[in-house]
Amino acid sequence: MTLITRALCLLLSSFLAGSALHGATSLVRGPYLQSATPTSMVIRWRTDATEPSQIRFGTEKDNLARTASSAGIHSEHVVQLSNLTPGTRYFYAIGLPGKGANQAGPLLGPISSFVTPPLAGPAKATRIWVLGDPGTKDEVQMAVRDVYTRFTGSRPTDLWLMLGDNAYPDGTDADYQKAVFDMYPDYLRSAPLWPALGNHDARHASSITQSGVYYSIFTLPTRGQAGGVASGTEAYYSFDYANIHFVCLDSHDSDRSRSGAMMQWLLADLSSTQREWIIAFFHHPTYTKGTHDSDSDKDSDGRMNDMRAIFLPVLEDAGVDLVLTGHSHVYERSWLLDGHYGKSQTFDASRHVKQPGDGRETGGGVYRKPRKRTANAGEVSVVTGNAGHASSKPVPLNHPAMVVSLNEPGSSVVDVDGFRLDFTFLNDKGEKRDWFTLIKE
Amino acid sequence: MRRLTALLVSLSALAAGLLAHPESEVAIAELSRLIERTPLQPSLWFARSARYLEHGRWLEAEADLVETERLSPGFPGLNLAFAQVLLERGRYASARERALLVLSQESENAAAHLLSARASAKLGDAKAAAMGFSRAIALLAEPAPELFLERANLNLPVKVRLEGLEEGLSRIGPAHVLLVRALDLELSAGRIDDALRRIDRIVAQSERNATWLKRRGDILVTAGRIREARTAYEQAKASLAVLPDWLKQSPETTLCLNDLAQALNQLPPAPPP
Repeated sequence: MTLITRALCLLLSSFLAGSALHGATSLVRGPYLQSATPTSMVIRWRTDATEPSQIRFGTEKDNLARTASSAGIHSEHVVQLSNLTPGTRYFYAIGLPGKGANQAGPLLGPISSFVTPPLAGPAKATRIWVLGDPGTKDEVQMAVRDVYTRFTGSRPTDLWLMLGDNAYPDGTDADYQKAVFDMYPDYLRSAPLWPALGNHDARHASSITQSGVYYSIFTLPTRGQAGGVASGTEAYYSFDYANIHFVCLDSHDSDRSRSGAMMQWLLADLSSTQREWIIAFFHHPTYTKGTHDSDSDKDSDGRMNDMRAIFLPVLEDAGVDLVLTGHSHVYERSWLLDGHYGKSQTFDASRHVKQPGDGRETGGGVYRKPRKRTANAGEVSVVTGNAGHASSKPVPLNHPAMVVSLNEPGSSVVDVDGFRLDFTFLNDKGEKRDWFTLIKE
Repeated sequence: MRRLTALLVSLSALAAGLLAHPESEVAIAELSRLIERTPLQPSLWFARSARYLEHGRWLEAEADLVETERLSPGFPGLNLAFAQVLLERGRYASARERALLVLSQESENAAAHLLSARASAKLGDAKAAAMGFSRAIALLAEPAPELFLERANLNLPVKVRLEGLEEGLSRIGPAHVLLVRALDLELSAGRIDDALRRIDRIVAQSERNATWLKRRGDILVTAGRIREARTAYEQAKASLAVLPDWLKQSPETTLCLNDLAQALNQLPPAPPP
């Protein structure tokens, strides 16, 4: 077959696929929002048949006049909407091709909406939902989700973080379908999801080759397009939202050495940001005495040691405010800390606690940090690896760096407004089990 | 004998501590029980070796791979797993041999190319290593920056190493680590203008770029280009001056300003234009 004949066949098959199949096409997953920036949004979805990838969108629900598409026909669709206005609600739907060349076809699925992130820099009240180790696919995961839905009510979620082990047991595509796409369809289509890689996700994903299920499913910023310095990899990345800089690290599968690429990038990224808040998130906790033990060199092959001894000093030196991790299926929340990089027996409250108290207005007083960026002014470490399950057996929960330690499922909510950060932990029964406030002044 | 091996491996798994990886330990214990019952089933040995591999327990992984091979010499994935274990255990020639065996049957296996490249690098065969990395990079849709760095660290002419980094920058974008490595290589080769070009790209993607502008000035001083160095230092000062107040007052900004003042004071007089 000549090249020309082959090209003609390809063209014909594309046409047939596009025109004949879409009548029966249905959505398998999504749409879901990725790599949000003030002026762009990546929308992904999967269909059970190959179709052209097209999104119709606009700022009015009944006028989706703009279109964005990507070339070719696919069942795994990735479309980037560009030239958007910051901080603006957009309505969108998946479009199918029409019968004529210039005719719009029917919509696939409902009309959804999202709000683009505001311009990086100025403060804006921001709600962040944090889920660690959620992917059990069971009623506990559902209960945790439903509690948050009731809690947030009509207040929209601006973005949500997954701290790894997003889909049990093996991070396969089927695991992700049930644990993520079937579990959180409303959140997926309305708020951008920013994930971290966990050890269970890594069973079917490789960071060095950027391949496997996790890396196929997510579109994450590698070129600094969402803020921060270009990492060149989806394994670790950063992004901005209003006055917050988020840093996602790969605590499982990337080189965690001091001279490694992740560390070099982190140093550059942290020293570059001008955002007022810095929130770091990754899978393996720096301190835990839950279903994992951060004092054990063998536990998780020393990854927790590495994150505490190698990465935490750099994060604290850069003025990080909040460190969110999972892996341990419990909830543990520290004091306002600095400089504790050893095992728990080396913890010395007189040296490592920057401010005593529980961080509550109604209790020992909110935590306070200077507004000017100051190294080692204190951070709060939160282990919240319990959005899908807690431990079925008793666990020690006695790490001395922690103010609150709970063996119960739940998820966390971070609200940032100007120079105030409010943190809340909700259990699966809908109880507010921990909270604290951090103020910069 | 096999039962004894299985028992020893099970015991060592337990000794490694049940807390180490609770789920993995359960899986390994379950596989060990199955192996006890059906020791002639190669897939069980292979599955357990995969669990050991996942946790860097190379010795136990290798023992299970040996048993898998004894039971089923052509077991799928065996040579690739062997290549990884042997590489981790420092037996580089054998690791490369195994990787090449995979490639003889699957020439487009990126993982095998990568393992072969790493083994070749350890054996001091930079040319073969570079070829392996290049093949792996070409086969991967989104190669990580680490792969370009590994290739750039091989003992090859600077020009070749820089070309490799340039390929990385064009494939995956302006990854900071690639730009910095390229900058270092340009400087090591005394290519000042190329180094400045690299540093300008770093400056462009940094919101707080004073330290990079200062480095630009330092490079120019070393090259005797005093007038340009002064300009770079002044630009660094200007970039600090436009920071938001809360950052302008930060200790690191103060430190950087002091460094810049010192650098400007120490500048030798510029030769007449």
